[in-house]
Amino acid sequence: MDLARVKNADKLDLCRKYYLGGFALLPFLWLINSIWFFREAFLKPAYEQQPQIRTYVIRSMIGTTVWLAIIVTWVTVFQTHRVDWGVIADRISFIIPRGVP
Amino acid sequence: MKSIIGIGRVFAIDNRLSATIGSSLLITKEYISFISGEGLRISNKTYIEISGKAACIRRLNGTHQVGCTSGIKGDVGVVHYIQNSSDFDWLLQRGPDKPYAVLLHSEDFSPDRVRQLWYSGKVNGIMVIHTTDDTDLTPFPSTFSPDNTCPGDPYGLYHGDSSYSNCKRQEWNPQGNGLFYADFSFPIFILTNKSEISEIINTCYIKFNKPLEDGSPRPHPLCAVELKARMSGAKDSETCIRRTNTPTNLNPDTYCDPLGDKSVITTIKATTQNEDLPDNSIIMAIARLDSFSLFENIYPSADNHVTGIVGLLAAAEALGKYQDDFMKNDTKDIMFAFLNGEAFDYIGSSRVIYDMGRAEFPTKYKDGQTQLHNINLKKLHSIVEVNQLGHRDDGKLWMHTDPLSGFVATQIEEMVEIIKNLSNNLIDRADISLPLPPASTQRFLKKMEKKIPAVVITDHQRAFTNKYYNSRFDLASTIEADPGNVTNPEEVVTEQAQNLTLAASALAKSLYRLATGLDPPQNMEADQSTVSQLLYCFLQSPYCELFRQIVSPDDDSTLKKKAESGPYPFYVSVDTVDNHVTSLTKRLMTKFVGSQVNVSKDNCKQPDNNKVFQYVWMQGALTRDAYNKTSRQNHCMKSTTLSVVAKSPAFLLDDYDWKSGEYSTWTESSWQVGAISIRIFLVPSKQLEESHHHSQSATLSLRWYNAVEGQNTMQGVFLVKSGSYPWYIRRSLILKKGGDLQQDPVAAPTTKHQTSDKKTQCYESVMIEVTGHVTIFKDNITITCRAAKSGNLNYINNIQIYRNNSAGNNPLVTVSYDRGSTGSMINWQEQGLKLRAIAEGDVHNSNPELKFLRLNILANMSRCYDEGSYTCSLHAQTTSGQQYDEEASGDVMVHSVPDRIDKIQINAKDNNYVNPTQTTGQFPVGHLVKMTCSGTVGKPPTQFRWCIKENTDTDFMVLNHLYAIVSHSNVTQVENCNNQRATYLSYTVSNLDTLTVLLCEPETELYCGKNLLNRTFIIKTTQSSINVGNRAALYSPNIRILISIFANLLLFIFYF
Repeated sequence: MDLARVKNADKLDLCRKYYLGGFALLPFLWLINSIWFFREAFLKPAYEQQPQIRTYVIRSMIGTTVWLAIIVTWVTVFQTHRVDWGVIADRISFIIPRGVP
Repeated sequence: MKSIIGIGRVFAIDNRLSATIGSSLLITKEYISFISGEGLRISNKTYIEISGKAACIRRLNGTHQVGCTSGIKGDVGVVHYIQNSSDFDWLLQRGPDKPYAVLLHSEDFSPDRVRQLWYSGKVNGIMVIHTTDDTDLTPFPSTFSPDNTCPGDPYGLYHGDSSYSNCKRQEWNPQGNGLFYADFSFPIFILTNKSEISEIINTCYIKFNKPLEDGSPRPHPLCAVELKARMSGAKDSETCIRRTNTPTNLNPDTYCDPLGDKSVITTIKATTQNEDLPDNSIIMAIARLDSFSLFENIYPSADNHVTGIVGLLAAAEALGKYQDDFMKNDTKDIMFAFLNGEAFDYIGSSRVIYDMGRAEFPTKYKDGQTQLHNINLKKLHSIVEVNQLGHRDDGKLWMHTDPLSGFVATQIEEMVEIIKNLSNNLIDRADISLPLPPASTQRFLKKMEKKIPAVVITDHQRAFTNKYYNSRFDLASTIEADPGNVTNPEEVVTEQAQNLTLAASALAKSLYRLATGLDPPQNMEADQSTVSQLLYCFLQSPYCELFRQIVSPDDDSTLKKKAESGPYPFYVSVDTVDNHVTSLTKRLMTKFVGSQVNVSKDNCKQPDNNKVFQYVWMQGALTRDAYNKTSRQNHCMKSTTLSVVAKSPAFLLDDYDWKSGEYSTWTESSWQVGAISIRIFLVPSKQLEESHHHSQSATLSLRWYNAVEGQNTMQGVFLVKSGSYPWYIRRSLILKKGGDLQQDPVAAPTTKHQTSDKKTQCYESVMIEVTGHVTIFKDNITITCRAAKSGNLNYINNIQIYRNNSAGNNPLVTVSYDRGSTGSMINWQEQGLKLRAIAEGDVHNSNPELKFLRLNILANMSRCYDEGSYTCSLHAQTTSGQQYDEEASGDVMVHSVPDRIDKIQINAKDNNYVNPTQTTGQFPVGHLVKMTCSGTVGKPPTQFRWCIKENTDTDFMVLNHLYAIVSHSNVTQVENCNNQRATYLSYTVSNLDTLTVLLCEPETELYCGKNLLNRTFIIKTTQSSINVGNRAALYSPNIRILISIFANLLLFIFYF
């Protein structure tokens, strides 16, 4: 969808949907929201709905960052502690490597 | 399809052989046998597979992993053959081309050597020569046992006992080196094929790798070997069993399997569950069925425990003829037990005891069936166990008894007396203060709190007389049971057979006496010919008359096939399939103590409601009929002989504590198809070494570096990532402008600080900085002279730059103090240089350290003769008015890169096969094409290499196989510092060359086909409609992992 051809009110609506949708444990929606509407929120000349869109985009960005931090932390912790965790680590692994503890 | 390709290729190679007689050809006739019958892809041409091998594999128990594993893709090392200690020292002290893979003689394969090699950091794989038919290549070590010095102790009777545990009284296996229980993170193989070994030594090692007379290492190409024995299991049995059973694993796999098989049990009296079976009424006669060695599939086990098995079988046969004497009510029963898995912490005996405890031995009762009476420990009267019987100490066998069984001491004394008398002192009593040697009996005594009389008969009075306990040298030849090279080996009665017959007779008589209380019949003797045949069948060849008699007619061909690869292994192995040795032992017992029933093959089976007897269909003995035709009399045999599960109870109990040490926890790691292989190949140059076979997935990244100030040489560590394991290599690098990396060809210092003799200490004042290595037309040449710490100088007259090279020592440019303008003035002495260089300088600056002269020869104007030694010469006056001169020099090397490559030239006689532009040729299969590729190779000179891409390949690979012959011309110097060179290729067209692209390029990049400067030539065959080989080869197993990761990602997304 080309945002340039969408009415401002619809943009706000779309941005809000993505923002709210992100709360359903869907961080990718926030990621997309913050990239897609970045221009609308910060670079375009001011228009009526812009402050609201900007709020959503900023919150989406924060959400994305928090998610990213959570995921990175988890991956790091898991990779470094997999061997120590033993049973639990094996249970939550999709792929168990061969030939290493 | 495969065989057609094979034939085609062999034909092609023959051609190649005849075409290149007299040239320095790597291949010999033997190689043809290695490759025939294979679908030959590039890899087959590049690598030579070694087939005669046995790997050290990984096994696990409740707490450890032991054995060996290689990296995921195998470990590559330059072959180094250690013949004597000087080869060994050379490797450790010099050996510049690490990693190495060493080839050792069996004598040198000791724990100390292995440790030294490993800790040297230069070795990543070991091959041990083991050809039992050639004592020159494989001189047997005087002793070798990979077991430890006190086998089986942790699970035995004396574990934890203050006076007997850990072999305090007697170390049973003093030659045990414990290698079996070591955890090696590198591959160890034995090589078993004589011709392959001599190829590795002669064609690979001596030809390419053997250091020169003066000990200097050989240049590339070097012959390397890839040793691959990648194991799936890791850590311990608990972990690998759990992982095998983890349901969330997207890549379901078997990481390890429990060790286990079957034990063979026979009772002479067939007491059913409806009859009375009194306590203390069964004499147990035990032999152990298995052993181990360090290497997969090499488990000869002659003394330990074939001699025991044969002894007990022959005794059973002798007793079987007097079965009727046992049928009275007051006689005791004899239970023959051939226990399996005993070498791995007593798997078989533990399971028998466990099953006895839960009333499932020998079988579990089922309603409506007549079965053998359950036997529990209370039913046992006494135990007689036979162990190793081959190496007799003092010419006798020895009875060992348990010194702690005081409760039954008198019964033990009676047993000992009976056996001693009936054997005419052949079986004597060992020192009564000694504990029992490693024996299954220990498990029974442990469970029964030593309240059962037991005797263990074996060939050693104190320590093992067997010098090769649980090793690959425990062979027929080492127990003198090898009939030698005769026409009818089965009929030869060796000395060992005679001795074993005597022992078996004594054993039979003793068991008879113990069971019946009567004197044994006079003519009760074991059969010498049975003993001979059993030894032959178990140790030499399973395709023997005795085994042929007892197998079913359908299995005769299997036996014959198996005989080609030698005797059956005596290793308990994983519990998924029954061992041949076990089922043959069961059939032998059926033959020896069973009786014939006259039914047809279809009816030769158990009735539904009577499970007392087992029925076995046998091929029978060879007979001659009236017309002198030979045939086998197939018949049905029934006996109580049955096999019971020999799998450790540890794997049955849900909440078993793996570290408790109660039951055996041994598992064998599994490995994937193709995870065990050895192949040799040539490494063309050092640059390519690490990436050679990782060429598809390797990425190179600079991990860290430590730049040395004032030099442009860097010390760095490369991280070559391949698959999932990193490989660190420390290298010296030159960091050139433009960021590309190159290995250091010369370790010349780039900055020199020379000072003249006249100088006194306080006048240290001139420094030179040069760009040490430059590429012509690409890098500026900068020479900077700096005056430093010139505090004691009054003023500097001038600074001058000289260049010293083949054209002489010439002044180039000078900066001097200009009194007129009170500034600095540049003067050119070399007028030609003025046009292509910029000079700036200052000798007037108030800050003495900012006095300098810089000459900058522009990159696009640089010349070959700019190479040389540059000197900064300082002329100054000291505060005391004296003249002061000083010089400093630095070297500049002018390099060049390959910049021209000519069209590939095809031998003129082949013109009719080649198209007019000479870029494509269509040749008949088997045609030898000679081509030449020439051009410039840069300075310092590299060389051209050939790469190949066949029809189905996606990338170019180095044409490094042993059948395409590549040679290089000498280097001739041409303009612009460049060198000219040619490379010649003789390539034999095969039927795989449906659309083969040959590429010639300078060898400057790691991977083939990445150099922009290249020439290609396309080869097609004139043959039409050729199948293009096996497409499946394109899909590596890694694809599976990629798919799994992709699936993971998808799941991850759906998860939210």
